[in-house]
Amino acid sequence: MIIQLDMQSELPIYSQLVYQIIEGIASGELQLGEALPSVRNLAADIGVNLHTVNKAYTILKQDGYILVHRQKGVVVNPDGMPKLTDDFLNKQQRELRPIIAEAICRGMSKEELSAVLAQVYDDVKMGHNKE
Amino acid sequence: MIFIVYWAVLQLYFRSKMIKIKGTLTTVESPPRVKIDTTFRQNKLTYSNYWFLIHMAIIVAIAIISILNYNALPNVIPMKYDFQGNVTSSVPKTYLSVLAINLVQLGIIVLMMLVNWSIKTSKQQLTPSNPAQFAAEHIRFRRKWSLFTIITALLLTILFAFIQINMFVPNLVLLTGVSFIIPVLIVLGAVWLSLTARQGGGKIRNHQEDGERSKEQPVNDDDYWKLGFIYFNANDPSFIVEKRYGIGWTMNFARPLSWYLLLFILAMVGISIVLSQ
Repeated sequence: MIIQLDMQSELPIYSQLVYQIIEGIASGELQLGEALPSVRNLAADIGVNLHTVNKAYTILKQDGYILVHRQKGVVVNPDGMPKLTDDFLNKQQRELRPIIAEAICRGMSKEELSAVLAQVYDDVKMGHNKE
Repeated sequence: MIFIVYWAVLQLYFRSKMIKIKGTLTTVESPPRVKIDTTFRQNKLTYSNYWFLIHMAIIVAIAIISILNYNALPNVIPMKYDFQGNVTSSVPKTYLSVLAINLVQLGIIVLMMLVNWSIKTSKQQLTPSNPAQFAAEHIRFRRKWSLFTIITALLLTILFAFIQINMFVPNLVLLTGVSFIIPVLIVLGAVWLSLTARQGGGKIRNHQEDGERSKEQPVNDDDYWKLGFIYFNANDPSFIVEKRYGIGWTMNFARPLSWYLLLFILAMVGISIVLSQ
């Protein structure tokens, strides 16, 4: 998978990394059990501090998307992805609320918003490298 | 020396010119992006350092032969010849002076292993457009230079082996021939590699029309390239990076390791100069 990072974005690099890797798994570009670069290699290749990559991997590990083996290194969780939990649903609602609120303020209808959601859903599933 | 000054002046002149031109260019809307291939490091980027075992074996074999035939050597060993084949300098026979060549050979091999290792570990630099295809070319580029390093080390080992054998079985014609051919081979190889594989591994000519070319731009790292050719970036943990132009790799001088390495290489040169006197 090709990770794309915007070095001038307001979004911190570690969040971009987390989102990109989750997107890679969602689109199938990263297979279950596939190896990811080590913290040191990835940091060197991007040209950022080790802590940045470490932070991203720690978040991904806590959420259950990746595993960090002592010998095999970092891999996409081979046992499958984390399940839908109440915690996750609550978090998702929390994060969606301001987005929907903004859409309402700008006069977006429910249908329009649903259309956007459907389009982004398909987009993510397709993956940006496949085209 | 004159060449170095000429090169530096030329480089600084065109750098200032480029900076001016760059300032007048309109910026493209798309933000600069870094693209990283997650599978890159799983590829075989260089040939193994175990190949140097062949070199080591040759050195050890020649050293053993030298020690076994130590008594057969004359008490004074010729070190340098002029073009007529007359001895211009010589040293008294000691184990050190007989085995000095082997030490130099070992030094060269350690240096070449270091070069091979830095080709492997150097930072991944992909073009913003078409990164997957570029990665494949880039891997080929690294492997070519790695192979070149190993072969160069082997040729040098053979060259030194001839010099050492020449102490026992003087054959000036053969020695002159070999010490002419091997450097020429190495230089030709380097020239050929530089002409066929562009720095980084891309194509030398870009056949795409203007419209097809990517509008994306690489990340602007001008500030980290001091004077345009010295890489100094404290935020970057990698310490071997590709040179911005020219051939080969350079070091991130914000990392102390690169200073140690530089000292080590200077020491190697110094030691071989001292040994040759």
